[in-house]
Amino acid sequence: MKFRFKVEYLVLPILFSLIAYLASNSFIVTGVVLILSLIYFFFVYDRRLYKYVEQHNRFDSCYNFINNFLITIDSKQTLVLTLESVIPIMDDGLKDEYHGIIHLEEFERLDYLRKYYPFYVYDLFINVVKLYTDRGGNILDMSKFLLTELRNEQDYNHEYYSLGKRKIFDFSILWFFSLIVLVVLRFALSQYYSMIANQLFYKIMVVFLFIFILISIEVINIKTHHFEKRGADYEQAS
Amino acid sequence: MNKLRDDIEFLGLDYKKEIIKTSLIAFVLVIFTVICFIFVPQIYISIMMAVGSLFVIYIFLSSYSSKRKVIEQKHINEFVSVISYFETFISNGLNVYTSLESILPFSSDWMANEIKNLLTDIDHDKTIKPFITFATPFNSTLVENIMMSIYQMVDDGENETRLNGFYHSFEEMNKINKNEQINAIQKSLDSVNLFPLVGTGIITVMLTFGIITIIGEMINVF
Repeated sequence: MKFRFKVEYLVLPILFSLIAYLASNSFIVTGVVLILSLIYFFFVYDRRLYKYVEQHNRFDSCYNFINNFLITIDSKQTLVLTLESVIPIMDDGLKDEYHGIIHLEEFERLDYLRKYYPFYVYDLFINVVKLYTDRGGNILDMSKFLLTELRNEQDYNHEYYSLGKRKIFDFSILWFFSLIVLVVLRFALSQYYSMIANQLFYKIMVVFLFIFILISIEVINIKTHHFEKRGADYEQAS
Repeated sequence: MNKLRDDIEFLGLDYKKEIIKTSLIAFVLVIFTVICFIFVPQIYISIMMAVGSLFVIYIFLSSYSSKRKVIEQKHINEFVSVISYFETFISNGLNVYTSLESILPFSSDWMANEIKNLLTDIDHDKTIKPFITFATPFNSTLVENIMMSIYQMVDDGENETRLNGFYHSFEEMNKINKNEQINAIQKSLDSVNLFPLVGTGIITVMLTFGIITIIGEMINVF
């Protein structure tokens, strides 16, 4: 499990532990909430978010590569010249991957890149390129459907991303108001609150509440950071 | 009960075994509830056990229908994907039969099996029947429309009119399928709003319980 330190992952654990302290008056409860939150954000949340962002960026790279390739091959006419023109303007990740397969034939390199771009639109692209190299013709005409499908996939991914962002905002606002209630009551009840906070059951419930909050964050994390690779599975196809 | 049987058989499970499994789980839960009722003095715990047991059995029985819907939607999504490949091949001059053969490597085992059955049936039956039979497991009129337009290409030849008909049907299906997926995601994300509401409920219960305990202690002191 790779550990990535991000300052922004400290914000919520510190905020939660502050609220836990205000709610419970207990350093033990505060410590437990802080440790659980830090473990969750650094080891669970980050892993899923990183994977999603990587796949999202990988799809954007695939989109750019296919578009650039089809436009370039229409003028250059050969795979060799097209790849020589397109690869230098692509992202570093693709360049690194490509340099590792430079010893292969041109079409084999494109085929190998299925592992780098495990998306069904890339499979479609490979099939169009194969048909073009076997039969010739106008590649832009041949890839009309592919380009429409690519655009549709890109639109779908962007819509999913926007929906997710909106939902995370709504979700955060709702939790913010729920926790504000707890903080306000802590000050409103004043001396009675210290009597409530001394009860063991109450302290346990405060820890349970924050565990529940972390579980709810993980649920929305799963629902909003899930990149659906639609289409055929490459492992199956090979 | 028939619907439950249909759902269980659709998932490839044995109906009798599943009913026995559910009955055993229900029996164990009932035993626990009875033990709670007999040995635990607080009646509310037994009531919570009984309600919880009913809830667990309900969730268990409704899970078959949910799993079936998930699988049906997966099949439709996969159909859209493989027909995308089919469209690529057919729009580049291959005939229907060759295009269907060419999409086999891009299909899951289930889909590949369905396509192979379709190809075998096409060899023996030149009517629309094999295409309708192929569309049946998907339980979708859109899939049926696509298969009918593919049959028309086989029957009349892959001329421009039939190809355009197929493209139009497929584009419509793709659009509808994507909208349905976005709507499903939206519904799924809306359900997440329950968590903060439950959280507020937990806070209310915590504070109420705390206040009642203090009042109880104060009353005891007096």
